[in-house]
Amino acid sequence: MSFQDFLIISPEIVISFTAISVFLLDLFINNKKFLVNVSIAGLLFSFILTLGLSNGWLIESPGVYAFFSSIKLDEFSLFFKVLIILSGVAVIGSSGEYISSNIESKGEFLGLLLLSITGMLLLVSSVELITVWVSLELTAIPLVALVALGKNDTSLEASLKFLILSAVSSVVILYGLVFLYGYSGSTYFNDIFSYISSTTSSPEDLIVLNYGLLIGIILLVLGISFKLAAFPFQMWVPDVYQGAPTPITAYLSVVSKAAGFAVLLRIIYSVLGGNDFSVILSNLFSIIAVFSMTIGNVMALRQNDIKRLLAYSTIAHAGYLLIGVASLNISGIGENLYSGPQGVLYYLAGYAFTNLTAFLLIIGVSKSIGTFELSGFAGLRKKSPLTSFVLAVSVISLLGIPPTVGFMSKIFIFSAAVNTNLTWLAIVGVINSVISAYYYLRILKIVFVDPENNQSEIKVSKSISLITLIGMIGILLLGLFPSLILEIAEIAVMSIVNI
Amino acid sequence: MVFADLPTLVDIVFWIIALFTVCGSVAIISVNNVFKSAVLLALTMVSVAILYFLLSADFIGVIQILVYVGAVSVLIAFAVMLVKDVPRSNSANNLINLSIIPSTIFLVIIAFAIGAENWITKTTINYEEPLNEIVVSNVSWIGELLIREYFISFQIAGLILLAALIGALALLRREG
Amino acid sequence: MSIENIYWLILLIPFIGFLINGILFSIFFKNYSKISGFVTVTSVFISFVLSIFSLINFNDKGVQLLDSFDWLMIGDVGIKTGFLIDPLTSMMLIVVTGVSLMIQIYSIGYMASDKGYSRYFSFMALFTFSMLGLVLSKNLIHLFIFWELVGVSSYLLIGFWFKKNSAVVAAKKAFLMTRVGDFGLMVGILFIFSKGQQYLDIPTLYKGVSSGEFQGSGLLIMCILLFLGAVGKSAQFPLHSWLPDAMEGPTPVSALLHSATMVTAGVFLIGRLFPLFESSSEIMVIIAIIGGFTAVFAATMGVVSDDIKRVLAYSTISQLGYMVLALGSGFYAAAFFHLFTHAWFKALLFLSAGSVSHATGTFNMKFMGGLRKHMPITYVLTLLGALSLIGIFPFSGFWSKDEILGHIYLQNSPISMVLFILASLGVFLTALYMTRVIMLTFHGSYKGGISSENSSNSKSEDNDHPTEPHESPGIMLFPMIILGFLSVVIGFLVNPLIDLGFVSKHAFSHFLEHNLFFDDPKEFHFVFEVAIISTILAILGIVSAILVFKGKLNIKNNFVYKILINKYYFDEFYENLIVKKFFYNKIGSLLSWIDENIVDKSNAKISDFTIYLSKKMSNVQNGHLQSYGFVFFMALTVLMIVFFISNLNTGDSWLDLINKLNSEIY
Repeated sequence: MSFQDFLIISPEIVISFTAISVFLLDLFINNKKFLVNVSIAGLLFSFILTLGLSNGWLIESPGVYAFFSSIKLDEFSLFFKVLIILSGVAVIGSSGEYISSNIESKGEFLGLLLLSITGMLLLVSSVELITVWVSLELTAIPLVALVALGKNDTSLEASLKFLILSAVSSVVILYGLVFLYGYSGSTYFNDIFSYISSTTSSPEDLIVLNYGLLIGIILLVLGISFKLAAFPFQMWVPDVYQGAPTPITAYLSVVSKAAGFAVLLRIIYSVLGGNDFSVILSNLFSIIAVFSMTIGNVMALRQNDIKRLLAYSTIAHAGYLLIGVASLNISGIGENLYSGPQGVLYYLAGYAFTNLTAFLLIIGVSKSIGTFELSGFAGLRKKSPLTSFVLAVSVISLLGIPPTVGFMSKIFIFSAAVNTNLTWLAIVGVINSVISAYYYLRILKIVFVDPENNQSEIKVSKSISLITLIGMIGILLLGLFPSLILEIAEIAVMSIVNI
Repeated sequence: MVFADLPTLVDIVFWIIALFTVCGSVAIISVNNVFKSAVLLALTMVSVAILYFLLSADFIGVIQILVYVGAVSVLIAFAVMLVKDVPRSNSANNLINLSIIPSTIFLVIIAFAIGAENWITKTTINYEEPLNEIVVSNVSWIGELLIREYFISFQIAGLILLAALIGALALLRREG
Repeated sequence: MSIENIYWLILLIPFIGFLINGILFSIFFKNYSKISGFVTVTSVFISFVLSIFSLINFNDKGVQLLDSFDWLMIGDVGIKTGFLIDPLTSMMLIVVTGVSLMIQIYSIGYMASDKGYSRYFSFMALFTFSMLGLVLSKNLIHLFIFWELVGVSSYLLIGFWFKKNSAVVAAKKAFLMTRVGDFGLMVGILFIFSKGQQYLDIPTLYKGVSSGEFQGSGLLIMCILLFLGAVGKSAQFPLHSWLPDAMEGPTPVSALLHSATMVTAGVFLIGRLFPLFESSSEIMVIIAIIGGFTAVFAATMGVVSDDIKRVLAYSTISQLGYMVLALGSGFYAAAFFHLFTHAWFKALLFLSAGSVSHATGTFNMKFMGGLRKHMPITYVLTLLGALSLIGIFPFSGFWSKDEILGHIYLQNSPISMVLFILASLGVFLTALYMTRVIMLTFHGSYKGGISSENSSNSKSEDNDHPTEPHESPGIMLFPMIILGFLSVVIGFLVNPLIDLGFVSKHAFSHFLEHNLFFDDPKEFHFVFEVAIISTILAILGIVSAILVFKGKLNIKNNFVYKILINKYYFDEFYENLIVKKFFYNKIGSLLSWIDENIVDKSNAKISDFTIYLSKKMSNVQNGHLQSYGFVFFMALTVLMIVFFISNLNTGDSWLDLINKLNSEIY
């Protein structure tokens, strides 16, 4: 362990120290707004450190290991770190008002959120099974408490469900990891990879002989589906999203999902080495994707609570994302070897902008109208034209209509599927997009067409307005110039591929 | 049964303890009284600890007894006693009969996979050998691993404990 | 600053102007909306200065392909953004920004009292942005996007006074008719795409054409489709009838979009894809004939119209016909020279018409007359524009029109003789209708303007418009004077017959041929006899128009007049026959039957089924933790079984596995 090891995880260290300072400051300071500012300052400082790590100010270049090869800092982890930290800034920055009025334990709320962010950051850069699992726990345990901190009655119930199902998923993942370890005799990604590639000459060999490995992979993937909010572990999502404080819902839907996909992609491309396993993995992810999309979209049709509706929508989006994961290049030939994971990274970045914008607006609006019922949004156009416009942009992006980032994301994901001979999967995706039009357009209809049914005045706080405006600009900018992200995504994906 | 080589004493102990563990686990979820469940849980944990001893993982075995039997089971027992009306039945769960099907299939498949697998018996990690050659127990080895190879996981575990602690306190405040 | 950044600035500054006007002044600071005119003028002015700068820079660098920026890239495949900077682009940049600048300045005065002041200026900035994007595009996809954006801004501006029913109808008509052409363009681009994705890049397309990648009947179909796009946008026969109606928009809009810039987009498209068109001789003949026919056809309708802007609209169609004719005959430089001069003097004529209506409140020439005394400056400027349009020596129109005529004259073939006769007839007709406009508007006695028009239509509403017409304010006259000056000199100055010292001989034409697909510079001739013929024809036209005005010749109330005043019954043809009888009665009823009985019913079934599915699924989502876990483990085991069995099929049988299992245990 050298100094550089600590430098490499300096963003995580800074955030965890910020969390501890927030806990301590909470004891002495009455002005809780200050705690929000401290948290944001910590996040921004760690963001600068992340930039420093990526630009070679602190270390020579990305692609280095730390702590006996448990942690790897590469472009892939930097991509996700930036995504997670910025999403964290957006969530905390815009929820100052929400926290002060809706949360009893403000210091704990902020500190636990920061600890969970630390876990996410460690998760995306860990390349060792035990570190992966422990980081997963660090992301989940604070969330259990955070979900319970909401004031509404369902919070505690939601928290209990989250606790138990999260434990089940952790156990299933652990079981999968045990199989991986038992098969290869190592917990390090690189060692597992070299063992797998040394024992197999052809994919058929591997698949037929090693049922343990197969079981391990299935358990691992299905366990992670909890984090992704994908089938078959999607059932907690609506209950928990509805019960949790809305900023936590936003955080769960964006950051948790992104970290889950990061782990998944890293295991696929670093441990399993991409091509050898592609038939099995591709089939597995295709099945999960189809079920996630269909369940999410069909269930969303009849929802009247906007948080529940968006919960089902995130399940559907996890399904779309899994199409990209399933688009492994089986033949290993062709022009776009890694268009699938690239599309996933682009999709996640765009989804972060879109979903955060939508959720933060809902925080702002529902505070004024006092409900999460869809009917409460009727006549929003008249009350607050700008808010309804931004909401419309994010809903359009969720639906996937140009010129938003949602459209481009779907284009990339579906074309990746077509490139890897998964045309049927792309078609299922398109059909699902059509189904989703029903409920997304319903939101727009309620906001823009329906007559208003209550006289409450809409007052959205300045921080939410600012952050959602930035989000809207991001949605349009990334939609018009996808190469801004795609180039980075390409480098990021290349950095995790073991060949 | 093949009688080519007779089972050793260790084998006999293993089979007895394994049977005990499985039966205990089934009993935990079958009895209606929560307090009885807690006691059965403690007993099952002890038998799992014995399995660890058989695998010559004595440190883990001791920890198992300390934490699960000494702390977790006792905590559950206390919690049960503090609650006035002990819930005696779990009638809400009407899926228990249906669950037997997937559980059985799961068991068969896992057994199959474990059986068919060419398990690697030696670790492929290049651990540094413990400093002193005479290893009385594996405590020192685990200790060294925790501050060397698994340093970062160890630290993260510390953060998890912090989060759990603070989370529990925050929940307590919410209730009160 | 790198060259590429300059082009980015040229493109984006008007867009920023659009955003500022559209968001800040239209939504937030409505009280300060007067600033929006200044914003647009400034942004267009910066673009104009930068365009001139880039033109000067162009002379040093030659054709530039700037594509450092990737758009829609995955791996190495995808679409790159970029700018194709050739002489055509440089010239169009000057025309678009220059004319736009003049017209925006004019608009500050013209639109001063309008309620939608900032809306108007934001749309105008949007249009300028789209048009600049169109001429800068290096890629057919981008070209198409900006092409559509131009169409959208045209729609918005024609329907600017959306409370007026005729404006709404005209906007719809313009949008729908150009859509017919746009559809052709889109299919044409898809055709090119099917030949290979790389051909979407225009320079690569040039290379592909020269290496013979595009041949055969496919080429002809492709070219016809692409040309259809040009026909729609440039209002050529038979998609011409939207343009006169488009005059419902504010006059500066007519001047900018529907005479000087937007309608030339079609001509620009032909020029941009010139190598493609040139490689098929059949399409060239079609283009030339359509252009020549339109030139005369539109001019005849211009002769009888009473609305001054409609006359100018027909004149625009006719002049665009000349450009298309020139391109169809292969005279690339001549066509764009005419486009260049036409932009300035036609903008001037429209602004004059606007100025006249500013004074009289009407566009109907029957109620004007005698304005020469009241508005002397406007009169002189209109006269300059008219003479230039007619093609009288030494005004700019003379040089450009005669270059087209001379080229056709020198091309000895039967078709070219027909075309030459058509073009000459067009010269005569142009002189006729322009003189008629001058006479009706400025000569004779004043007939009362809007008030007498209202009384003749027996409308009794009060009108506060001054009965005495007056000269327009300085902010409107200033751009007109500049345009008037340019109309006089620009033809000779940029493309002189002799070496002027600071400008070399035929500088403009030679400049235009410095592009990616012309290898050898051509010889340019000035044909003296053609100049004589056209001048005589023009004078004949002027004289006959004066004679008609003085009452010496009676043309009204005969058969020809009736056809012309009804625009050859084209609107009736489209409206009654195609739209009502064919589409509405036959196809429409068929489609509606299909819609009601097949689409709707199956849709209802599908949606019912989906809702039913949703209800069924909700039963599982019952809030019980146990059922959630149960579903998870159920799925887990099912997936395991699926993958186990699928693996068994690939290799070992069950029996082998069981044997293996036994040997493992013991």
